[in-house]
Amino acid sequence: MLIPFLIGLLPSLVLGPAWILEIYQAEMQWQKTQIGLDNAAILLGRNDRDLMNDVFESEVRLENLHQILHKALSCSLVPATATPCQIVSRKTQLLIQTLILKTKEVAQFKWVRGGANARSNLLRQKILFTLSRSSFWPGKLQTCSFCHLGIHWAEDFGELKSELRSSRYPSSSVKVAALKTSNGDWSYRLWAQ
Amino acid sequence: MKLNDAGSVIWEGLLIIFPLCASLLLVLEVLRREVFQVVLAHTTCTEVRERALGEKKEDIELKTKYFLEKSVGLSHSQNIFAVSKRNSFYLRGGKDTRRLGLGSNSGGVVEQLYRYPQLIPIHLPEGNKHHSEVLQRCLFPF
Repeated sequence: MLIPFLIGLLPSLVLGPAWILEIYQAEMQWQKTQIGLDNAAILLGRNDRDLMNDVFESEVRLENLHQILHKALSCSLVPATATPCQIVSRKTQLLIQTLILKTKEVAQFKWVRGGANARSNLLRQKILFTLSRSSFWPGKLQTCSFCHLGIHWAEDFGELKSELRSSRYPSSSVKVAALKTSNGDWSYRLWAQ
Repeated sequence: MKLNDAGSVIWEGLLIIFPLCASLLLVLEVLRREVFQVVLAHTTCTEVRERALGEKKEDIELKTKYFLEKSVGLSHSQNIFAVSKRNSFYLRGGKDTRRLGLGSNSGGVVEQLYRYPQLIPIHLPEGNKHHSEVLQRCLFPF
């Protein structure tokens, strides 16, 4: 009696746990993917936050240079001080242009490095993903109405948002962007959807 | 096969059917509970993550409903959603989180308690218990 009973019960005893194990493994894999994406997004966010803090630190230097330039441009209109002031203004203009160029280059490097760090972090965990992030740092410079040189980095960076999406679970995604806080420092935020 | 042998096979078969069906029901009940555990683990962890990241409560509930509909069916998911209790709170790491079996990190916790009808009622001194409960908690450390 026991053998037919066992034969009848065996499929459910074997297949049931196997099926449950498969469900558990799928859930574990999903959670692992989600945690991996979140961690990579945190890395991206930290990178972008540091990048933006550096950019706006250099903006303070840029503003100081603009003050010097504006004074030099004003005094170059006076015939008595024109020659030395023109020299100062030319040198300051050069400094401003160099600073803008350097800031852009460093920002671009850090922008690319952030993406690469997030990618390598996810690849190390063998998570398949797509990263939607503009290939160039989206910073735009506003020009000064007085000297027509760049002075302020635009603070509304809509394109700063990057998105990490799992290739295996398309509903699993996270967005991240650097944001300016009320005290003027930069921070970052993650969005679940 | 002799007539006596055939009779004994039929008799044996009849004797087996009842325990076999009862055992199968028991296995199905266990499997069903496990499925609910997984579904709950998924919904609590999704909910706590989305709450921690500042998503709207209505959007989260909508997503949970949709997921439940897809995983356990429309009528069952409505039933689950109607009777489930949902709590969310912030816990500092240490004694509180350890007591709930969530490790020692601090963070947001979502707790869901689902009650679902049982296939096999359990006889208790207070009366028959026709429902089973599954409690799941998920911590999102921050």
